[in-house]
Amino acid sequence: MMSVKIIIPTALRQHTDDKDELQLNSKDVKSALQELVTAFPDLRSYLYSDNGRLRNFINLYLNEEDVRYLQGEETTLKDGDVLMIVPAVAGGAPGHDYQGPSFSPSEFARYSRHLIMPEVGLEGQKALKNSSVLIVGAGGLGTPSAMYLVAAGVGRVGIVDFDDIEKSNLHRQVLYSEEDVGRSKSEVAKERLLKVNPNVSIELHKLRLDSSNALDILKDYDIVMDGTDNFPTRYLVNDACVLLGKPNVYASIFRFEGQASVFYAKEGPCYRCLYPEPPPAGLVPSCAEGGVLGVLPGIMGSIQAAEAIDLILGKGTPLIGRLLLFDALDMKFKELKLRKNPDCPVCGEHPTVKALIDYEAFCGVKDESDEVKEMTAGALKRLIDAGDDVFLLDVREPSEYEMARIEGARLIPLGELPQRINELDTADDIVVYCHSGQRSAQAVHLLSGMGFKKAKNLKGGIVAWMEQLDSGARTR
Amino acid sequence: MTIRIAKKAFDEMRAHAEATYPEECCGLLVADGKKEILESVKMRNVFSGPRHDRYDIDPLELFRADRSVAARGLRIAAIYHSHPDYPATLSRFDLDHSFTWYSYVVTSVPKGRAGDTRAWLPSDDHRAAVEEEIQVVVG
Repeated sequence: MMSVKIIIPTALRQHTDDKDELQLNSKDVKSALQELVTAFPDLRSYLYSDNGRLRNFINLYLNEEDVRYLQGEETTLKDGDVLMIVPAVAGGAPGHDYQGPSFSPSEFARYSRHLIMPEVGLEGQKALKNSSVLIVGAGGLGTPSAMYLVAAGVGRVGIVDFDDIEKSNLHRQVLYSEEDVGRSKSEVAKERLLKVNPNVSIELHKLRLDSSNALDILKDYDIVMDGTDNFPTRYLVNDACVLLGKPNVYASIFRFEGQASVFYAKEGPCYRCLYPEPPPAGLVPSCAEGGVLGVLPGIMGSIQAAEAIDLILGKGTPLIGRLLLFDALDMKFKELKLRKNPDCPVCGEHPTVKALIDYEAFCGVKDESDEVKEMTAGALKRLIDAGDDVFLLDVREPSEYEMARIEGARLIPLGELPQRINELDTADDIVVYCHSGQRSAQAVHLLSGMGFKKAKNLKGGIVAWMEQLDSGARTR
Repeated sequence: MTIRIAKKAFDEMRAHAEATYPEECCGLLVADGKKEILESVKMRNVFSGPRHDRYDIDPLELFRADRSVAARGLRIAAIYHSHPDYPATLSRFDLDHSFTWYSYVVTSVPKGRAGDTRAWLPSDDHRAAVEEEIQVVVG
């Protein structure tokens, strides 16, 4: 057994029989805390939130090192270790309705074209400086909106993104350059944005937003911008905003068409009032699958930025209760009226969703790849070379099929698969592929649910197939 | 509810608020067992962004102060900070980040001069705070 010392802040001594340190025998941080709250049950509510997670503003230091930089609560303890509980004390004034922050001469010069407009003026500029916006997704929508918000002087901008920059991002995500490929989106974004305007603070959340962390992250911001490219995150952002009472400035893009609205349940409908249920998984293609005009997210992201600024200034008529539709091909804007759904499960009169749920499951995209039968490119090659009868099914889009395909493959895009299922035979050894294996995994999942028990997914998609051919050519 | 603060600690805290203007100051108020504030301890504001409306206390600095206070049989009873050009009320951000085991003492600093100093006890749900009457103890 390890003998470790745990140190309690003096303010909590009243709950620990006036002791400010205790000797425990625990193997790791988690069990040390468990032992502590078992001994002093009054401490539990101070250290843990209702859902049993360690409170956000509690720091744990092991021998003066933050356990977040070790293995968190799983960090193992050894004899003589000292574990300290330290509150993260922070605070500060808002400035909306008072004199607020002051501006340096350089800031006055920077914002001069705002300052001379009656709708903004000094008061509005201070409101911008005192405001905070969280951008979910530093992609096509998130990068232009971030650039404009930062340039306009929004004081604190948070960015949620854990992706790295890919070459295929560059035709629309103009914050990034050729040399950034492979680097973290959020880190490059922070670098660039601080060059745009060094007077603001940029906060990074390099993680996948999910039900366990969304409320904690969103609650520190005034406005949330949805720049996501998938339905689970979109529903998650919507529900978290409704639960926290925050406006959600939304946009989405597909090929030449964009949509934008402001979902603010206090004053109007939410995303679920518009779309109560997600579409069947795979039916609506993402940008990666369906393509997108590079300039479109620039326009839609800029609309989001303008909406956020209007909300901060409290001026104009925001897109609450209105869905703006933009067509870049015919260059037309249209507007639809949205109504609040009284039966909406999150923002209706009798809500049934009162906490965040499992959005992957809700949207039917739970990653079940481990259940999906897979085949490697090498194994497929051997089967084909051996002359075995393999039915190759390509579930990509026709444009992708035209560019490159595996010889003899039948094309049925994923979205058409449910209607065209009768073109397939359950007796065949079907191998499904797409670009990199994601869509085909969904297709295999769909197929096996319909009795195609022999369907397999080509692991890594046509990309893996090409690489395999290449390496084969080299070794030969 | 009343919070008693020794005059020396009270004056030091307000001088600290003026000295850091236009940035926020932050620090600790140390009490004995009877919840009488005897001393103030300055903390550095380590917030990485603009500090005119934000403060962060360095956790390790807080920890060390807490230990040295504990060794003398005292405890940290309150956190103090300043609001440059803003009233001495708890902001939404203050409430969101509050701990119910501390009182929060805020000094308003309009145009660089210490104005009101008010004390607040945050509620359990971090949505509101109860004001505590400050009694400055001379001698």
